[in-house]
Amino acid sequence: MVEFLKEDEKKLETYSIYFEPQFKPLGFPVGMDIELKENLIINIKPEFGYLRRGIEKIVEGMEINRVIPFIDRVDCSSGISTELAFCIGLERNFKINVPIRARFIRTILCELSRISSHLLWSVKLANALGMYNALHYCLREREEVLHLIETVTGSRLTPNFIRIGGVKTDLSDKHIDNLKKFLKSFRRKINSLKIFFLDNELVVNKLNNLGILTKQDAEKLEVTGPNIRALGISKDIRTDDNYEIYDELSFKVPIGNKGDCLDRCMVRIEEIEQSISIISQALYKMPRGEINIYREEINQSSENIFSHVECPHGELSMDISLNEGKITELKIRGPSYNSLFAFTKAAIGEEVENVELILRSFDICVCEVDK
Amino acid sequence: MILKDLIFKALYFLFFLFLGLYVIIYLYKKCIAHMQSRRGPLHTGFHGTLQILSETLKLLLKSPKLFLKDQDLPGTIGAVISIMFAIVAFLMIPLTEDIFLMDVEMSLPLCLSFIMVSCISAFFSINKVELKTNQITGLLDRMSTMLTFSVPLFISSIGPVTAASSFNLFEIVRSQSHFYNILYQPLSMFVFLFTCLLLWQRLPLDMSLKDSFFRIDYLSIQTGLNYLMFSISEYINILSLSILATLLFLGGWNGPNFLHPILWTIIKTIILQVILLFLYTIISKIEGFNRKINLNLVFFCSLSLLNLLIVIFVVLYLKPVFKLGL
Amino acid sequence: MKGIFRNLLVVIKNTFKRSVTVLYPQDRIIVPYNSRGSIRLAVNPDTREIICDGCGECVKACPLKLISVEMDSTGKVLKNFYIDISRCMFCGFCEEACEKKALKMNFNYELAEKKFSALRHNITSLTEYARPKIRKFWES
Repeated sequence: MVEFLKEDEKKLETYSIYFEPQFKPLGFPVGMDIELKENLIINIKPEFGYLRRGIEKIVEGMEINRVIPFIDRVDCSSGISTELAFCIGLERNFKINVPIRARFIRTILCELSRISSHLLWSVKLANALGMYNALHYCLREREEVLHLIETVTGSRLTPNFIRIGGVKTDLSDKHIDNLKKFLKSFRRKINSLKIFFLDNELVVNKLNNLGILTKQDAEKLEVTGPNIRALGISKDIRTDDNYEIYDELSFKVPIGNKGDCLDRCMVRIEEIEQSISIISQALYKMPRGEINIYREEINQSSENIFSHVECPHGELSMDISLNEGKITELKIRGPSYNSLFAFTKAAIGEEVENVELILRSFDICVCEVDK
Repeated sequence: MILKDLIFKALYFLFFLFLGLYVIIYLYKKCIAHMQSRRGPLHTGFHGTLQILSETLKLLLKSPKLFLKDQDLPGTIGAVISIMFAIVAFLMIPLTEDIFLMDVEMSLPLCLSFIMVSCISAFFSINKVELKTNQITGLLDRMSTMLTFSVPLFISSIGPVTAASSFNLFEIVRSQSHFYNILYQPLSMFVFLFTCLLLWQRLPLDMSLKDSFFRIDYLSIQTGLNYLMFSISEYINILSLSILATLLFLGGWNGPNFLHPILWTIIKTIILQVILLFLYTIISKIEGFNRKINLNLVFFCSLSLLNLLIVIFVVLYLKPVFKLGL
Repeated sequence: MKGIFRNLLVVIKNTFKRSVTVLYPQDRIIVPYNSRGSIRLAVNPDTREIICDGCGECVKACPLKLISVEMDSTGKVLKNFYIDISRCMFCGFCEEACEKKALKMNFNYELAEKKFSALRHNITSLTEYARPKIRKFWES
């Protein structure tokens, strides 16, 4: 053992470790090249591109109505936000009228998918912390949410539900009763989530002051979503740039203080609570009416239609160009791309053993980074 | 005659060892599964009772590398040492007044020290992997935490010793015939149970897959017989520690007359095991040098020393007043 | 230490609740009625004839172009109907485009086969679900 130490003492200045993309504890295929000095991190270089499917290229030359199932697969935990961004952009450009009942149904589905995405995040964080009880409880609750989405749309993660000018099918009375029952029992179950992550002193001592992201770094890298709300800056597209029915409902946008792992955890758990109140208000106010009035086809051409939407990971924006009703260019920009580089800045100066925890607290979805 | 008697007693005692092992491993798998809202082993035997047998058979039938060229000699030596010391520590503990194998003068510190040796001997069994600096520091870190957390274990067991004024396990249980020790020494029982948890080779000090990149886990390198011996020695340590806890704090085999005294010890150990399981599933990982020192010195040792003061006060002043037979 | 004891209470409550696992080959998971699974052609229960008449709307609607229809020499009677399920996305556009409700998506999710050629369905395997024995099994 002494001989090993003598050889390696010369290399103790800085040395580097390479995490392979198949390294199972990280959870997704991103390779990392970490430079260390005496157990502390100096620099991280990420390597991505292993999940590229070429969605933006497949879609070229297709009609507008046939594009929607391909776009579902960009955001892997909540497929409905990209569909919404696509349809809102075209409706605003060509001035198409959307009936009110369809708008309510779209917001309800958006908030349901936000709940399921945040529950998936909490499952992965519990795995990194070593609390296998909380893992199974959160998975059990997520099954109910996905079952609700499946009764309405027909599929759990790729709904293919939103059309230009409205929605595919209507919510029946039975769906609304199931939703109300679910909301009643889910309010109590959120308290156990809070007890596991925010009340436990061992977890709080671990996540406190870990992986702090400074304000200058966040504004340079243009981070959006819960990652920047944990710093104290309140930027939310639901309140800044109104889309759908969010200006008629009242809800709070949770904000943090310092920008460490604990604040990001708290922001996401409080967002789940606000989603519950949004859904219950929308169910109360929803009027009766039609779902889809628009029956023509779009045959025009225009360039650079822009639209953006608040998806559970941040701000998702799209850039569409048409030519006689067929798509010539589609650009999707996911929020996890910026969070990945924000993670490399936040991890500088921390110990190597905490890499997995900091990575999980940023909630990165690799399907958005390479589409 | 004496040899025959001894062999008969040893077999009788080993029967209790295997019974205790089987019950503990089955409880471990089933209870944790129900806490996580899933079912444990279900298909082999009635509700999975025979699955432990099938797993041991599978590990026994893997090819033993005793006489081949690339045998893992340090691994087998480490495994044999750990299981031998664990079994000897178990054989020194008496189960009732009549069922015991050895009557040693200072049985309590001998038991505890043998358990510590069997836990630590596992780390001398690594020779196959190329080591880097960060992996060596991880190994040393883990060994040192086990050694340092044995200090509050020993200190907390001194409380019952002063109350009974002897190191012998028989005397400690006889002194609890009227009053169990837990009534005025709950602090030391708390400390004893928590350090039992930390000696367990899983959470909160476990080595998951991610840690195995930075540190070496001795258990992931072994196969077959070695793996079986290491994992069985863990469970024997847990069994003997929990029986020790009942003898020290819960009164041992004392109880009302309608049940045989052996049944009282068995019931009390099962209750303690279930409490230990619940605590084990809740605590998340403890990492970091400063946090461990804080837990160790500030929390555990101070509590156990406080408990010593209480015991001294009770023994000196309250005993002649109330004539409690302590 | 209070938080750890609150955790204990939550865990103790949950040990006595029912477990969530489904013993798969014996029990089956309850899937909603309108979930998108395998594709089948509907059959009129009275006359035992296939409702589809080969209009070709579903051929235009599929974004991956997996459906193909063959007509008779007269041009009015359906001869054969091919779907390649190995590349299907289960999006549901074909079901939406059919006005006579001749093509439907079942809630069957066990679609694995041993040979690759079994995934290219023709008209006999698509109407297999109309047989009364198989319909009883899935709807019971």
